[in-house]
Amino acid sequence: MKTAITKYVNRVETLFTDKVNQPFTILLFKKAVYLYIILNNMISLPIARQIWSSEANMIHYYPQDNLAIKLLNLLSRPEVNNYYWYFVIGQFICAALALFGYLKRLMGVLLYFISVNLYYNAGLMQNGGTNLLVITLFYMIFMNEAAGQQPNHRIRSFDITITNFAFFAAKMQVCLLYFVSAVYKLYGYHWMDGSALYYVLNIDEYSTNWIRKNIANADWLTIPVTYFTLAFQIVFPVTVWIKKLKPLTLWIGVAFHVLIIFMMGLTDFGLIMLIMYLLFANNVKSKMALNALKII
Amino acid sequence: MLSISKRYVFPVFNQNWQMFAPDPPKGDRNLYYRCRFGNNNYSPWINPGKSILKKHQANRFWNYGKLFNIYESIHRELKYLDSNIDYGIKKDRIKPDSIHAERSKRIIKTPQYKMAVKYFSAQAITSFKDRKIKSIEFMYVASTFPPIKNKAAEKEYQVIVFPTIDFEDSNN
Repeated sequence: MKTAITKYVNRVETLFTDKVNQPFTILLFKKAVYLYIILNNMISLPIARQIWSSEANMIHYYPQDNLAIKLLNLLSRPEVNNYYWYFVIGQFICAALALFGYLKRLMGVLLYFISVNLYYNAGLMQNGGTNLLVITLFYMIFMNEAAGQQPNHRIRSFDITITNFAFFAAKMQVCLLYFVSAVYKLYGYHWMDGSALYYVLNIDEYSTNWIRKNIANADWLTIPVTYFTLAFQIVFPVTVWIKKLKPLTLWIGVAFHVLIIFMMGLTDFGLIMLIMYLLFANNVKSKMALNALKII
Repeated sequence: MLSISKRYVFPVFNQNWQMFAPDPPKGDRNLYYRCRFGNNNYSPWINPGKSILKKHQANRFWNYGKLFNIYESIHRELKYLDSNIDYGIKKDRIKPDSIHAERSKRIIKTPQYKMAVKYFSAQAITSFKDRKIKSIEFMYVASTFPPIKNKAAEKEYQVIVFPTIDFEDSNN
């Protein structure tokens, strides 16, 4: 028994410390995140004043009194708030440099710092997608797809280990998100009686006239889809790790999030979730995708 | 450990993934405002979120969604504000005949109300550039859809009227 445990521990240890497990998947994922940040930054430019300036309709909560949190809320301070353009342009530059592979580690840290500041400064208008993005940006600081190329043995081992752990943590983050959401839903009345989607699709904000007329009141569709959504969120954290079920799980998820974007208009959240799915992509296919995009 | 995690980990790694849980909202939530002009005439009630939402529905990939999120955050904050004020008034056992005045007094001091003042003032100035605005009235309107098993039933409405913005004062 003791030998079996030792063998298992050694196997896990090797799995995390031997080599970067999916370098091309990591690279593809990171580039997709950087590209998203660049595009999101660009569409925010015309309304930057409404979102981040001192004229913005925002309330800044400062419940924290520690240095780390203060630093991440720097932009929310009145004396710094007028310099919001430095943060907006800084985010664009850091994401662009990181996308093209310049000073990756430094850009990772700067991008996290700037993005969290922009996020907290406009905290009231953010959604789960942006929250997920900033958590992921933190994990990304530790992901180095080229860790295996470090000449120093000790630094290489350390870099490989934290890269693999950060990559694993980001994948677990997606599972955690579905799991927590599913558990909350199990406490709800309308998820259990199948009417959740009927309510959501009747709300102006998450619907369109066409959807309200043709889908929202079709019980034969909304009730099964409500239960299906709940079931998907419950099983995802398990089936995504089972080789045979993984492709089906991911494709259902892709369809689910594309519908969330177009039908419900939760574009930020939908796009970020689709990018998160890249974490589960095969290394070889990620390499092919990068070659096809010629941004490797 | 708990206090350290609350101070450092919770704000940055908050895992409160509710996503329409435990229950989704059961109806529409909107804000309306109207202006009183120099000649004491009123504008019609305007929902500032309506036109942004239409644009967002037509193009899901431009920044209309973000603009709508600003509007959404204001009505959400105003709803919380109303609930908190009501709770405070009940807790402090304010006499029924002074509840209205006390409610207004408390609301006006809050950052949520100041945020709403800023938002509606900007909306009014943009919509009525050439008119002299004396004051702005605004309200939160929430509807609740009938239950799925009885769709023919009427929607229920909740209206919360907030203290009027004296426009000349708020601009000075």
